[in-house]
Amino acid sequence: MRKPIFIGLLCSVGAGVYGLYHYQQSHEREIQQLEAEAAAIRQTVTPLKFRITSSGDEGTTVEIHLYDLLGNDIAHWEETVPGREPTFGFAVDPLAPKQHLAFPVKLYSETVAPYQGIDLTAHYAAGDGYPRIFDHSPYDATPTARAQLIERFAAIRQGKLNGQAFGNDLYAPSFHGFRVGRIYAIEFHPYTGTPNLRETE
Amino acid sequence: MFDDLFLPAAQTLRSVFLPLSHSLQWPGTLLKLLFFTEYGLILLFGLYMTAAIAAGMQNAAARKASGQCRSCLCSCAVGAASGFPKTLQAAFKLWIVAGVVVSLQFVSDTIAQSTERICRLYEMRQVVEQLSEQTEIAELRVVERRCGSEPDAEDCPPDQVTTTVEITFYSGDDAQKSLVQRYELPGREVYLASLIFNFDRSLFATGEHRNLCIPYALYSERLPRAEALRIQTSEARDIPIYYQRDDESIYGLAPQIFRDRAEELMKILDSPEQSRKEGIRTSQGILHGSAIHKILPVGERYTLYLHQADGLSLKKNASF
Repeated sequence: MRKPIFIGLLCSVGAGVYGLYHYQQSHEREIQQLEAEAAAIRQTVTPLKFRITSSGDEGTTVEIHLYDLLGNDIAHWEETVPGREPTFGFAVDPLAPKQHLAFPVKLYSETVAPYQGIDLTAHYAAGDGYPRIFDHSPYDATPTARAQLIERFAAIRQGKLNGQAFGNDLYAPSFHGFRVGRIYAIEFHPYTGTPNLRETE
Repeated sequence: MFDDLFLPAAQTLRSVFLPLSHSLQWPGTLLKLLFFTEYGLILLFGLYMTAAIAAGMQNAAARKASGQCRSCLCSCAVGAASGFPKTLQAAFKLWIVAGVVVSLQFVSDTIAQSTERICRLYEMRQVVEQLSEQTEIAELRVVERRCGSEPDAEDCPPDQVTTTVEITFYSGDDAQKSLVQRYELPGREVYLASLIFNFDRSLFATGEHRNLCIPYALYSERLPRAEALRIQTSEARDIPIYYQRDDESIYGLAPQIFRDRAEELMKILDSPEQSRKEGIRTSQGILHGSAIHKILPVGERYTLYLHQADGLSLKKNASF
């Protein structure tokens, strides 16, 4: 009589331990997924940095640098725009709900209508039309992915923000102001598709 | 859901078993080494033999005198043999006590680790929820697009196109739409200029702060921002309508800090000259402008979202 009870008890304990082990393993997996998701949300890329070299009644001169995904400087030059609020226009193209691309497209200011803005895309378009700010990315890994990105970039260069794509232009309001000599970075969050302006150290 | 319900229990268990596990760590490890490893058992066996022989030797002289043993060696051996049962009993008791302590340490360790994992899981969910949180700010809809006095056409000269846009703000607590406004702009593309105040991410990941957004003007691809149309974001109070929430609704935040910052931003907008003189800067984050824009198809509704992970995005409203 005692033997079956003992075996039953042993089986129950074994099943309990097995269940607990798997319960803990599922927790561990979920923690890892959540950590990966938090890291993805926090991830940023910096395609553009700029420095105000001068600002006055004649306008604002900006030194612009473009970077690829490894942070290599792929182009830099100076532009002057009228006004005091240089504004960087970005096209945001959602690939998937949690995956977005951002392309710097134009530079204008508070006194210039956006359609009269200066084109930025020519500075990072490769010979075949590939946007070099995505060098060293998965889009650069295969000819098919590269061709798809070239196609998307071509549409954006023509001013077409198809489907869920939209523009998001960043500027510092005049009362907050850019400081001459300071370097500012435009960070982009691929997860949410939002660019953000940050003053570097 | 299961973990959410049992989180308070897990926290209580953790608060009990984590200190217990820590306090039992040294004695438990020592006892495990002594009683449950071969080296420890050899050592204990040696100690036990020594104790048994010592106990036997204590009565060696008496045994010799009583004639139980003739030689010293005999008296020692008999004494040791007579001491065996007692020391064996004591050793067995010690082994039981060690087993209980080691088991207790194992159980408290397991419970502490499990509850720690549940709490960690809950915290991570909170962090991800905070980071991926997005607030509905406003809905945009192009009501009409015209070419002069005629309906819009593709061949219409760009300088003759006008767009009438309707902006509707979501009010805070129940995300009801309110404060509907209509504006007419030259051109096709609607630009919504907003001030964004980004707190440091380390602050809002813990739920202490949230990013703020104040849409304040509309312009277009043909209308410079300096000539933008100022929009209304609140009815009577200073705080924009989508931030007028009950304290309970301000998700995981210090409500007063939130309201103070929102009011501060509104004051900046109301008196930019004064703000420029004062040199508005903040040690907690950066203030910047963001102009979301798109050529919105007539009649389609788009929602403007503010993301906790920085900045604004625009999404077409899902249809049924």
